[in-house]
Amino acid sequence: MADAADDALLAAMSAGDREAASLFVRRHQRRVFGVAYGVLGDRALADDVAQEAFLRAWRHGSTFDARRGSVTTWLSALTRNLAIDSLRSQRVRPTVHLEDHLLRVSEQVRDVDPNATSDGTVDDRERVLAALRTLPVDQCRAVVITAIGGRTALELGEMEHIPLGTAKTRVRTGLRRLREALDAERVQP
Amino acid sequence: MTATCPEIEPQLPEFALGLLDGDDRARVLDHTRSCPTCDARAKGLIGAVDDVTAALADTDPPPGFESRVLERLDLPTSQPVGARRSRVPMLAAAAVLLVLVAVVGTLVVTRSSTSSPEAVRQATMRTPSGATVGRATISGDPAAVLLASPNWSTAAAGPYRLRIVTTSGAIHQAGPVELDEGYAGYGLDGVHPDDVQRIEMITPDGTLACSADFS
Repeated sequence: MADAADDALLAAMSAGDREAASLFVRRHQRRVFGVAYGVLGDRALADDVAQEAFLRAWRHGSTFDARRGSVTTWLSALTRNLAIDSLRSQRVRPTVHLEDHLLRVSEQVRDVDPNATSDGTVDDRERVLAALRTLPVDQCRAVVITAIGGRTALELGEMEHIPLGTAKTRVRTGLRRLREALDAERVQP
Repeated sequence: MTATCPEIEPQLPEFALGLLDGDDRARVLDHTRSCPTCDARAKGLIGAVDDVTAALADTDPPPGFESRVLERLDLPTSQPVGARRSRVPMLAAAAVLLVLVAVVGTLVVTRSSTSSPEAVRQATMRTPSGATVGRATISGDPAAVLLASPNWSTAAAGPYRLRIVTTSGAIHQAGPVELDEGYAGYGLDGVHPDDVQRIEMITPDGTLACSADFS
């Protein structure tokens, strides 16, 4: 079972197979916790959200459609949405954490070699960071603030001292350009 | 009245980011269901958000994380799935079959005199007025039914009673079942899956909430 595909493990976990559930959690816990922590910046909150993400995966495994993407992408999106909900439900908005985010992401973007990693390969995360680096700084900030910081366009406008329409345009254009950059890379051999 | 593309397009980024609430989200969903152009734009933006999420670094969770998750899942350690009788495992068993249907990509409806345990039968759930509210899936022997209606916004949680009509005209009562975020599962003891002709969900006051016809 250790070699089982992700979707098979998810199905077995949904069917109540404890061994499959254990393997599934072990296989994905670093990604799920990483997404939760990346959004929330608080290990205790991230712990709660990551646990909830696995519960949702177990409960809604039947809605997973392999034709739409990988289990990892599905699980990451599920975790991100839960983390954003948690973030937005906090009474005190973690502005310091958001600035920390921007700093960390911008450092990672700056440091990435778009061509290779130490073992000669480029993984998905590094591809995305490299693609973010190609965006104008204001669009990169807009994408990170909304997608990871969970801020609305209105809040982005207030933070960046720009009109709402400009904020929306930055987010839309940033996301579109990011997608185009990564799509172009995907079709290349 | 359905919104227009110029009204919806500015909302697509926040829709993709999961930052739209209530009516706005419903308005976008309603529009994208009937507008391939906006639907494609929304999917592209959702893909970009997924990409950004991939930029977050994997991180080791606190010690004992796996154990805490498994404890909350409350899964048995050794019993086979088929040996349990509670509601949740029945739901889960049916959910697996839905996964199989989704993965295969084709709805397989089988009906034979000697049906196999893999047989999956599926039917649309409709209200008495004809509105589509979900789907019912029957599988296994003894049969398990999964009712999936996550988008049935006006549904009450229940409890509902299930009225099973077989091809011979016999009527079996089952339940109670409650919708958990739009999903409910139940084991149909004593009913062969091939013999189910119709399933009705009956509200506590005896009203027909919806039905699924398998004939």
